Amino acid sequence: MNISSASSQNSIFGLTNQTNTSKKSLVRSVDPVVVPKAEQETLLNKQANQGIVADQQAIALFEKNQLEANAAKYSLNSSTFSTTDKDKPSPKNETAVASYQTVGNLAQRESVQQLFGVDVFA
Amino acid sequence: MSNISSEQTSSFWQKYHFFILLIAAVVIKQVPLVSIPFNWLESYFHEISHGLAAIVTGGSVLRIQLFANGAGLCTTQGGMGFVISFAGYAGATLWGWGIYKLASSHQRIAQIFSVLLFLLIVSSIIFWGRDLLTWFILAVLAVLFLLTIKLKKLHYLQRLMQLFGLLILLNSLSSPSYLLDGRNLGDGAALATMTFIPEIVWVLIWFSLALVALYSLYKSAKKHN
Repeated sequence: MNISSASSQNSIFGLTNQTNTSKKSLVRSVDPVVVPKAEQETLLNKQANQGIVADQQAIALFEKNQLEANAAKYSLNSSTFSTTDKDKPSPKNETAVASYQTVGNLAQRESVQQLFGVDVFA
Repeated sequence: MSNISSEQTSSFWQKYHFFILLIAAVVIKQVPLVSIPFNWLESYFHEISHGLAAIVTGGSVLRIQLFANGAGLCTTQGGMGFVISFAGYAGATLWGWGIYKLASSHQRIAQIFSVLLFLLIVSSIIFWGRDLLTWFILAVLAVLFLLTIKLKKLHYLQRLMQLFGLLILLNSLSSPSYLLDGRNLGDGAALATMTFIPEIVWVLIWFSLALVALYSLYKSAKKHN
């Protein structure tokens, strides 16, 4: 349960990093070009808008992933048997273990009977 | 004249005391309420025989239960199953025979034996009785023996002990026949399971033992005359 939630968090971080790198590459491509101040401002606004758009996308992705993660978390909490089933031995193995334990119990029972065995005489 | 009649009575008693006591025992066994404590007496000696056999063969007694109708149970642990099963009826016969024999031997011996039996019953209450009914029945039996000890005239104690012995013997003569009820329960059935010898054979053995014991007492009473 903990492992799956951690991986979902990692996946969220990966997505935000991608958006950050795309933002940086946009800024670099703008730097060497000499442009007038007014154009620079509009460009900056555009970049800022583009950045905001990118952030919104990231937020949307983040929210989507978070919803998915929450849904996964909820399903894990609500159906504990489904996760424990993975640790359960197969029915074949279970039968083997049960028959092995039965033999063990018989021997144990016999020793207990020898220890505590009583007879009733009328 | 009166001396002659008392001598005659005394000689009659000495001659026939075994038969008088035997008839008294048979009559007591038929009386509904009076016979109850004597049935308990036989039941107790039957169960204590199981218990003693268990102890002698290396086992132990966990519990003795006595019931108002004269039934009883002895719970043991370990010991030899065959000996313990056989000892119930055979032991009761032996107790009846022994009580009569020892009481007949000497008045003082009869008194000492009575004290020993009282102590045995008290020990049974302490160590093996686990329920109220068993305690009550054992207490009644203890009082019965206490009364015999308290008797001023040892002659009466002797006769009472002889009567007790005969009552136990009569019970052990008749009680094995109760096993032949087709239910396959009790000591006879247990022995039949262990030995593959039918239950009726064991019943006949116990009956024969009680008969031999009774005959032995008759012979010794005849000898004393």
